[in-house]
Amino acid sequence: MTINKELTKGSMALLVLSVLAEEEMYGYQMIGEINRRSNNVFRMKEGTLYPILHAMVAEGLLESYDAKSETGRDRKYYRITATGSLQLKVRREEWQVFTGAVNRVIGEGM
Amino acid sequence: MAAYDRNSVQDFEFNRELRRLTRALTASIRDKKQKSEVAREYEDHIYDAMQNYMLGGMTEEDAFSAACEDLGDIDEIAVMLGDIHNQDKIPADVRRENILRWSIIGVVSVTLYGLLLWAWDIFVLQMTILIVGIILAVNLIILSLAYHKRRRAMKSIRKYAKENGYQIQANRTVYTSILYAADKPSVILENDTQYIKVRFLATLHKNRVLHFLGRNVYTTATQSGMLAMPTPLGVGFHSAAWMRFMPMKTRLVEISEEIPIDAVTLPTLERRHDPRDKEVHEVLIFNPAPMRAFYREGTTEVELLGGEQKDGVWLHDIISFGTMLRKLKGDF
Repeated sequence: MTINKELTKGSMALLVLSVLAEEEMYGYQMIGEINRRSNNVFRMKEGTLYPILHAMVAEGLLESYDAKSETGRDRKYYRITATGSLQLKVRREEWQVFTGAVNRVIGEGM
Repeated sequence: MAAYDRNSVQDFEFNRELRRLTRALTASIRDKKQKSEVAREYEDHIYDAMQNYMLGGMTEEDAFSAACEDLGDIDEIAVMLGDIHNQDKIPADVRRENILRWSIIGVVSVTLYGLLLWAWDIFVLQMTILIVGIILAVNLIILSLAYHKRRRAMKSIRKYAKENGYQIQANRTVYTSILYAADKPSVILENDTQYIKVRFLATLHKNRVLHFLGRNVYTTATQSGMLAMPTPLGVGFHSAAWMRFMPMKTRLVEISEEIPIDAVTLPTLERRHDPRDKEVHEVLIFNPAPMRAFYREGTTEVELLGGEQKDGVWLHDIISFGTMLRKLKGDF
């Protein structure tokens, strides 16, 4: 089942912050991890991840740095900042409230 | 245009196609350096994706096409990248403030010059004008020197960080000025822990920290860094009293901060002399401890925690501090 593009778009920042909270990653690795964890439900258009990452760096939620990957190639890695961690906490709470509310609404009609 | 459409008329030549793709992706980015950095990131992505496909048995050409297909709409991505990377680095309110500052200097200079011509033979007026002119000139020179000194310091800091494997960004290295701007820094001992305790006033505009006000210095927090500027002879546009004339609505808050000094794990990068108490305070670009700060408004005191830990070292910056301040004040 593929998910509506707009739904995925709105939650991308939360997904990115969540995976980076556990490990510093480069873009392609992040896509793989999000796909793996979501059982390929979030099959995003991969090229759109980078503008999102760059915007999050500009907002101070992430930091980037260059380092060699396991294959020896130079990669641009991303890691979460303190502000990003704070933001993740807030967004997780928002998400819980939001999904809880949606579930309650759609549950009433079922 | 949807997905990337490689030139199918010519034989497949990987490097040429890759260049063509990254040119299309980064077409909207104006800054050359950013353009090449972003292009490199997409190149890496394509290499990785192709490697995966080729491990599954695809040819180089098919793997490239599949990797491009996965990227999505190239035009849409190019627009998104342009929106992010072409933003003005100086926030609008800071830009307005700069315009005002230089307008005041311009108007005062022209007025002084006019008065000087008009009253050349009136000795007292002439001397007054000359003294005010000299004060302004000295301020401008000192501002300029402070700015260049800071630029040199930042250069050496970046070099140090590079040599020692620390990752910093230009807009994340503004913490150096805090101690310099702080009012009456003092060392205190509490629960066997020594702190440098600093207090300073900050002006906020839309809950963003604009300035930290000290008695003899002020600092200006901008996205590109913080300038520490001495204001000798008591002349400065950024004193608390002057802030009321700023075109934006600002307000003063008092922030206190405690910096443990017994946990220094990094060499001191710079020493600054505090002219007020004749002591030399170590100013660290990498603060070795998590920042605890208290923001007080009325009777309410809010604790701020900042920074992040890497390899046992706490790094933090005033940008995240300001962001947290905004967050806590609900302007996010």
